[in-house]
Amino acid sequence: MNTTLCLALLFNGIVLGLIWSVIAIGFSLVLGVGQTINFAHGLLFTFGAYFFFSISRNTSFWIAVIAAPILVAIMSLFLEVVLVRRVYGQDPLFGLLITFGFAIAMEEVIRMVWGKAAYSVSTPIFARGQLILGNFVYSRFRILLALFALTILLLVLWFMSKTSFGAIVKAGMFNSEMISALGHNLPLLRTLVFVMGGLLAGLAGVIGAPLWSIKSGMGTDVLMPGFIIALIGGLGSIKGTIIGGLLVGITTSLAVLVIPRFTDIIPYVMLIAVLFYKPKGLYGEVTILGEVRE
Amino acid sequence: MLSLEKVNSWYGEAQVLRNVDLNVKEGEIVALFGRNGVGKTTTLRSIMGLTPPLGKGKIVFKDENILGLPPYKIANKGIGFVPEDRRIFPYLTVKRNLDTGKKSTHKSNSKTKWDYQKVFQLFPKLEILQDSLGKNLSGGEQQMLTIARTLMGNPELLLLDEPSEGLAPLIARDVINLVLELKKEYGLSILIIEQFSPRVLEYADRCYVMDMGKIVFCGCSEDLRKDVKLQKELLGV
Repeated sequence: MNTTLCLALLFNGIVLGLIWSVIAIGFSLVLGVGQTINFAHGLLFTFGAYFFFSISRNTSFWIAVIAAPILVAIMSLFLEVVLVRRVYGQDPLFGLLITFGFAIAMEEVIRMVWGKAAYSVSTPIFARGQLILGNFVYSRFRILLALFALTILLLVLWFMSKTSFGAIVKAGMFNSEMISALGHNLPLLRTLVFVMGGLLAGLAGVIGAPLWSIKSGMGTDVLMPGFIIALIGGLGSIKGTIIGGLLVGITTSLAVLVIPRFTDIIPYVMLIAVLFYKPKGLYGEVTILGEVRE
Repeated sequence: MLSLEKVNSWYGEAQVLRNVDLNVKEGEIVALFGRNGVGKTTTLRSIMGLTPPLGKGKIVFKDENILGLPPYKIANKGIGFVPEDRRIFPYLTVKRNLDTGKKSTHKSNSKTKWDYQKVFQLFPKLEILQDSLGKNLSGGEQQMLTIARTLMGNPELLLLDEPSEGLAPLIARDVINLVLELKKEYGLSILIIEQFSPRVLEYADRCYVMDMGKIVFCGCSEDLRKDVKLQKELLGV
């Protein structure tokens, strides 16, 4: 087997896994604290990519890196205040349907504003070039994007495991009623976590924009892997989500060598296998929608 | 300090509390007895706003009607709730469980300002276990953690829902002693639900008995101790 090809696929898998993890963590936080299956999470990712594309073309790369996720966070605040807030505490199906409907409507808006054509982001000058290790050559930009995703993940991990607010968020994923009885403003907590999820989706969009072609349906392509990784890693576990993302990303990428026609089903097979043996996921703390099954 | 006037609560169509009147004075331990399913836990949940009462009743805490407020606002007025099933956060360490009890907005009038040091003084075992996950604690340790977590919010009134339930007799005795200490040493007012026992009557200043969602007895512990008929009929003693 070609070692260079294997290494390239392994690196691709790591990059893919890290981006999927960023998406999955935002999705997982919103699902845990708000008990809402946010089907618009992929759409927020798409907006991150489009905002990044437009802003970087009209201003600078660095302004776009900062402004795009902030704009997506503001958009997610609007989504939470106007729509999602109304379905907290109700049948989770309402949340799923309302965000699904919003996502479909907003995809049309994307097509109206940016058109149907796909766009791509050019590599900035500082990131051009290759990493060369003997026969192995890999894009420097991809490595920088992977490091950016890893930094985001480590920051979220630190925030959730070291700060008091992180403890409240984690506790809220486990028992939101108790959090309220302890004196914490649950509606505000849910809003903040939803916005945090939006910010993470926007950041993932910034990282994904240079890797994939920017088109209105790109969010759908990452939503399912994100959802699957959140379940494989275990809701409530940031560490589990990162490990789950890397496992799925690397396995899917390397599977090209063995079963090239069936790589798309790899995440689903992994999900079934993991949940069969560990219903809470690899490092799961709560089952889906917070129901505790010790 | 706390007074319930004609409080009515429902679970869907079923009325659980019927015109409940109850009060707790400052520095008092008040016990609420009754068989299972008569509405004791719902009374505490109604005070906390977790099962919001309906109708024209009032729940007055420190001269303010708190009925209709969301639970977090009620907690921030100075009421601490220790639920029946403990509800610690099993995947957080002891110390981070305590963090969740801290409130940023509550301007407390409580006599003691609780912090890690004070909590660990009262519960030395929790200091030893501070880095252990909540799920790895024994039942008694979890109960201590639940009470400690609530104390971190500097409550003036503590609502305790069967704190010794499911604990070994020796540990249950420790919990009861702790309740007494919280009153005597730290000046807390306490409304406690417990299974009827002579030991509880010893430390409660006053007690209420509930049946079918109504208060059917209100008086000092001594009166209830003497009323064998009431104990037999309503408490199954």
